Amino acid sequence: MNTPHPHIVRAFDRELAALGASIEAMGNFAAAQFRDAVAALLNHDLALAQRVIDQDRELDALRRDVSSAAATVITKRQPIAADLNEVLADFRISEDLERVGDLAKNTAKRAMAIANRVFPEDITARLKEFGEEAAAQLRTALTAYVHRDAEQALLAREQDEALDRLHTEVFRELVSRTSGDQAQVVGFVHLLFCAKNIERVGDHAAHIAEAAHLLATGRLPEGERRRLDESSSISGDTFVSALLEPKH
Amino acid sequence: MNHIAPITPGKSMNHLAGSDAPTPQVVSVSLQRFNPPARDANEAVASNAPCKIFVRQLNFYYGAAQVLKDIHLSIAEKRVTSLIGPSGCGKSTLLRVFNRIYAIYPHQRAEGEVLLDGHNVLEPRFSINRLRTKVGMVFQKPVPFPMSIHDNIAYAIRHYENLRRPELEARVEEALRSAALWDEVKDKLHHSALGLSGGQQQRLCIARATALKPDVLLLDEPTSALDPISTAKIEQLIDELKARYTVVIVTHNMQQAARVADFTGFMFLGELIEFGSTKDIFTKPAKKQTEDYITGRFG
Repeated sequence: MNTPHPHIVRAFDRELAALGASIEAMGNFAAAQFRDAVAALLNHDLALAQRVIDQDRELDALRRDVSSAAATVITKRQPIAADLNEVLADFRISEDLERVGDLAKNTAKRAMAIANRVFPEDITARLKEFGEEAAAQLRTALTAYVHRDAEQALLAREQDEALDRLHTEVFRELVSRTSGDQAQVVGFVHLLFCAKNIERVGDHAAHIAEAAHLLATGRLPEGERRRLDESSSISGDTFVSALLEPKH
Repeated sequence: MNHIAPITPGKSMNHLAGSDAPTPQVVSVSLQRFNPPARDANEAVASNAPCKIFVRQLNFYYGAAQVLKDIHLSIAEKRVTSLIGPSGCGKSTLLRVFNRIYAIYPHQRAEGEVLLDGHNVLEPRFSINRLRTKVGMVFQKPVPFPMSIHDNIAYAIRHYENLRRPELEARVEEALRSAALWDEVKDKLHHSALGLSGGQQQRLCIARATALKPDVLLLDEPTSALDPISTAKIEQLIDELKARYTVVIVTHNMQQAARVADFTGFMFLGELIEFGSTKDIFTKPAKKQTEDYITGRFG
């Protein structure tokens, strides 16, 4: 994309640059929070989980600042065309990043709730893989934003499909391993929620990628995103009977 | 920075690059490590300024009609203060009190105090000439003298100061540079100023005002007669000028006030209804009248 001329009133450029810098900082921080939350969950790290929870308020504060700054730019400068796309993209992305932060915080809370449980290694390995995929997708989306790269944006959007499939598998795996032991069920339920959180991070990454595409090309990506997460339709008929069998 | 420069991935994203080898302890990072921009840096700067002009109990009359009513106002030094309000609210009248330009008209009188650096400029003892070197003015319609570009500036300086030729030339160049006009006119200084475009003529008028090294610049609707690009150039200029001058601008364009001013006063029917930081006035005005005016509900 060609480097545009600066605006005649240079304060306009400074304001856009500040918005962009805020989004970049927010993106890096939200990604770090998410990575830490998943690590806290899988490593039973209470201290790390607590830090994630405490630090979430910084992300909320930054989102409020970005909203206010974006509104100010719109009032003062009446941006149009590419400038308007930029301000609107920044606004949308800040909302998504705040949600990513919330999902990280929720995951960290659940990590604290189940810190003393031991889970089967293959489950934790699956979750680790799942978390890393989501983190990679978020990374791609943020890179697409920073570099105004339409191709990266489309890639991040596609990665969401792989993530949806992974979520379906993790969900299935967790549900099928539930044995009816109440303590274990509680643990698995928390893990299910964490899996859902991870999947939601992927959705937000895809949304960020769409905003990045808008920024890079002036258009949203064509076509609806394919939603391949089938976890909502898992009825569990094949193993409900196992759950209902009386224990000896 | 004039445009958003792409940030190299290595620098800002490096902690995310590549998945970490599994480690039992992962140190959490705080937001500051990612260099978020400072919050509201400009606002803190705007509010720290001392008072340059203090207006106390100012009343103004055109003959029997009172057009300014009990104005109290503090103009901050080296900041931009805008006066907004509907036609006839008294904003230009107030501006013209600051350099006593009303004094050339009969039947116009001011009562009260206008303290410039603590001295009341309304007192007859306060020399008008001295006042007009300290307080310069630019009008809505560009009014270059019917002389060369060079002489427009030189004439103004020579009116007040006795300078030798080299000094005078240096001052002319300095004034034209400070109005962002030098590069455009340096090769035609002896051409008539009337041959300049409207936007250039207005910048020439600003250069003429700054040539006298005033403390205060009064701008009365400086861009109302100009095209959008010239307007933008002058707004950029105002942003640069406030480093050296206290600027008071009257404008009927609210977005312009929102863009250029640190402080804004809303006037109506001769009264100052509300005064505050531009940010407050335009985002959370205290008076309903102010809000009605800025949102276009007035009337």
